[in-house]
Amino acid sequence: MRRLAPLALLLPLAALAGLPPRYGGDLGVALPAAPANLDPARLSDPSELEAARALHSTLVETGPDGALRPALLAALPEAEPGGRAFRLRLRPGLRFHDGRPLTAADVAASLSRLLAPGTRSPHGWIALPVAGADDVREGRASTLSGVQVVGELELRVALDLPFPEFPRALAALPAAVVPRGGPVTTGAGPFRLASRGEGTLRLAAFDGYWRGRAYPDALSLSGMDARRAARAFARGEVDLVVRPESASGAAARELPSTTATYAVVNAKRLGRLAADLRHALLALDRSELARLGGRGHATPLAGLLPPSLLSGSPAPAPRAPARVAGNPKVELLVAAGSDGNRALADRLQVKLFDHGVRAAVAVVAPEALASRIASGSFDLAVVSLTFTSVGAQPALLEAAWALGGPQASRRALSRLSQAEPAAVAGELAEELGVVPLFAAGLHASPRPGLLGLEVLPDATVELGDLSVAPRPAREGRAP
Amino acid sequence: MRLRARLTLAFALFAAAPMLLAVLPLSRALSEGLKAEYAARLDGAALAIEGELRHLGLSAAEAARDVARSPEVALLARERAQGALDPAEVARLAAEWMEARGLDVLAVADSRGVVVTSGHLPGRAGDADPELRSLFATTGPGRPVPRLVPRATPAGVEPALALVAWETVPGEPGLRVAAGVALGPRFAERMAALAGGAVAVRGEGDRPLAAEARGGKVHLLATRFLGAPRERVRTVPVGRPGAPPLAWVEVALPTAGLERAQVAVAIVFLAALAAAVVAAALVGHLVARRITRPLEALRAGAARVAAGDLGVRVDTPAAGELGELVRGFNAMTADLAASRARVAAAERVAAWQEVARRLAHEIKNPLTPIAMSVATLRDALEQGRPDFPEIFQEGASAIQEEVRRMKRIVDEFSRFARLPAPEPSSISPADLVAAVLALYPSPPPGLAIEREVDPALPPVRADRDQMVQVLLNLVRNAEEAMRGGGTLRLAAHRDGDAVLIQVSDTGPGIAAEDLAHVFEPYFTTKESGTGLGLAIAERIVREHGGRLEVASRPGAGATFTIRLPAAPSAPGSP
Repeated sequence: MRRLAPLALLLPLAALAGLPPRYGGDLGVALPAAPANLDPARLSDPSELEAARALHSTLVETGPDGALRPALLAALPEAEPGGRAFRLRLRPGLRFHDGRPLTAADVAASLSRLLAPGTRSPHGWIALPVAGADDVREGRASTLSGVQVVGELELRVALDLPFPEFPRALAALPAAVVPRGGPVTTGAGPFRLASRGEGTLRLAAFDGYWRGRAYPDALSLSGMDARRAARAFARGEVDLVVRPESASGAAARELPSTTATYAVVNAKRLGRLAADLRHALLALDRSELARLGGRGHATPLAGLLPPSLLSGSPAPAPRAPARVAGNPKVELLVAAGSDGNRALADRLQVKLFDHGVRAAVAVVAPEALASRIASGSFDLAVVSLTFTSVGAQPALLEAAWALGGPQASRRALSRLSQAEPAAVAGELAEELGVVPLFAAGLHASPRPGLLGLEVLPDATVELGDLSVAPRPAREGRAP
Repeated sequence: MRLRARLTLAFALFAAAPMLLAVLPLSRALSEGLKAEYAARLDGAALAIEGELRHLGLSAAEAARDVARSPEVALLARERAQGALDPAEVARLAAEWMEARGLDVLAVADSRGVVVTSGHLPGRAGDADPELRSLFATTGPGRPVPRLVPRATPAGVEPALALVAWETVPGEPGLRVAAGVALGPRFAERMAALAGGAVAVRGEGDRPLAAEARGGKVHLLATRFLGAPRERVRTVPVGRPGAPPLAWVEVALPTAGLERAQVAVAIVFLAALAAAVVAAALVGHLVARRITRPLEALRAGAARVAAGDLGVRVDTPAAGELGELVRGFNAMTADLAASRARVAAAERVAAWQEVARRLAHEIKNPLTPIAMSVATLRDALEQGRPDFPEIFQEGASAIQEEVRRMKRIVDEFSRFARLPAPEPSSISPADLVAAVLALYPSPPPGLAIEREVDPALPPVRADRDQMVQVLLNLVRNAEEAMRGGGTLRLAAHRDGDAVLIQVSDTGPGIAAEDLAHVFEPYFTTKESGTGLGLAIAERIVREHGGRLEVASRPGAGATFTIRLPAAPSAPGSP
């Protein structure tokens, strides 16, 4: 990055002079938080999503235009007649960062580990349609019976139900392929892990990347708060800031609003109070909550999915305020580690207090929050979900898994074969006691002269495409 | 109760009464003193709390001023003006400042009360806080006032009593900082530690806001909940001057010390009272002993006199009236002894006179026929009566009869006078009965003899000859009473510790008026009786420690019962 900084000053001149782009240089990227988890099966926030985009590759991917395209696969999955099975063929010559070949067996293992209890993945929804998913999820089997390794580079995936959107689910970053037996930080993405420091992840370009070597030699992914990111950006210490707020004014690009925040009311536990509570929550001004909790660019959420995943839901309007009788007391769960969610929980606490409800805010670990929601042992929870999927149907499975657990996700899968996603979304919200609050997205603020900023529909940036000069065709780049 | 005990008790009571009269007021005075000291400590604790409240108010005002002038707030104001504030980050800024300064209330708000950041209620950021708006409207800057401030707590949003002050941010007239210190558990804990007692903070309607106790056995809020006396509580109102209090701080001190002191006083006085009573009782006992010893000796002497011992002398030294009494007693017993000797001599003389009279009377009776027979014989001899031999024979027989009678009378008198002392031995009542009945191998015509002796009777200690004489006397009397025939019954049985030997007849019985005299000497209903037989029998039985009783109804015979104590059984005997 330091090597790049003086060079950046010359970039406008070089561009004007039509200098050819070149490989090399260190890029500094500021993220909302240092990526704590590099296991794609367990990623949960935009920072981790961005790191996974740099480290890992999926079988298929969604292009900037929203179209599905093959990635590790040689071609898009072919559905067998009836739509209950897909054939997947890998590109030849794929290798992981450590040089091991990437085979169909790695793909099968990666799909199975999404459901394995030991993985504790919040993304089991991806493999849920595959036959034998429940056996793996409940520990009765270690591999998916529906995944059949046909050859070193070919496998067949059988589903329980017809699910034409299954390839889109495979495009989600948690479905990235990792080597059997780990380590999970080893992937087949454009960068390999070089080192992990305090708050910073250092990555190096992977020469064996299937699409061709990334332009930068190295990447530094650092977690920074708004002030620090602004200072670093102003001083030229980072080349790209991916944070809720814009760091570069009009040059910033809005990433899709894929992080949705919900209030979940446990109707089974609260009984009649649940309806009063939902009414009180629906009476809140969600635009104001979006400004508080969403940061960056946020929009009030009318339905279960953000508009970028399922359009058509009207913007919610605040309802008449309602006061809950009896001064009831509830516990309001919120996951640790998110200032926005904590602020939102504080806000909900005050607003519910104004409506006659005493809410005790309890901050718990994200895993504990997911576990309590799945087991139904909660009153009220604030849940933020960063969608990793693109497409309404996979997103509904993802939302149902996060807000109601595997069973809810399976019910959603079943309904999707019979109803439109919008209808399923409405039913799920009602069934799970979900009050959608807002959806938020980040800004990508590039330094002047940074080229190749391409935003993908899952709100990540293809970091390997960034360069400080006009890009030539990559050497050995795949078509 | 004996005189000595009564005197001892009187002395003890005499000592206790004035002690009690002295102890009660003294104890009360000491107790009042202790209470006054306790009240003074309570007043001191209340003053300390008032001082602490003033100090906390000033601290709140100073904290508001410091925060308002801090660089952090200046930066916040600038960023706010630039619109560069991240709502989520700024919402909790005040919480960091609040914790760093040890405050319980801290908020930055505009003049309308719209919260920019709040430490005590972070979720209020962006809203107009009615509490802050009211504070800004009713109170000037830098003046701490008590307020009920809604605070976010682990249990939810709850109102907290706090001393709150506000200050304007320099250069930002529209931005204000409100800071406060809660009068909550920490305050109660500090105050309780300071006072060494219990401190409670109460809101309207007696609602408890905080409470803490220190100093051991403090009846926390005992003061109210348990209905303890109000004089053991001091209440400090918390409110704006001239306005009704918003809350009250109550302080109570441990009463264990006071109670211990009161108990100690009571114990000391009771011990003194007990010691005085014991000492008085001891002195009373000694004095009573000195007084009552001659009296005791006199009582014992009088008892012995009453028992017949007139040789008693009381030798106990005594002075004064008691000495005179002792001397009088001794003189009296000496006089009594002399009098008794004189009476005994007189009685002996009288007895001899009576005996002589009786003897003369008894002898005089035969003398008349003797004299008449002698006269008749002399006349017949002088007259030469031919039937003189017959007359002589008749007169001689009469004289001989009368002489024999006189001899018998003399023998009986002699026996009565010479009755020897019994020589007791252990004899069986059955043997006694058998010895008497042996004299009747064949009963006289018309007389039936019945014998009914319990074979398991214990022996009696008696002089066998004398007891046989008694039984023989009784049997003969019975036989004489049944000249026309009847049934003589001899029975022996046990009655408790006594053995009864009964002689019954079926004769005419004894007249009721004679029953009381049958054992008197010389009382007889028989023409030839001397009246000494039953008297001798009764005397013999009495000298054996027993009793001779008679029961009779006219026409239904009579029963004489000898009641003798059973002989103590020998060791090892059944």
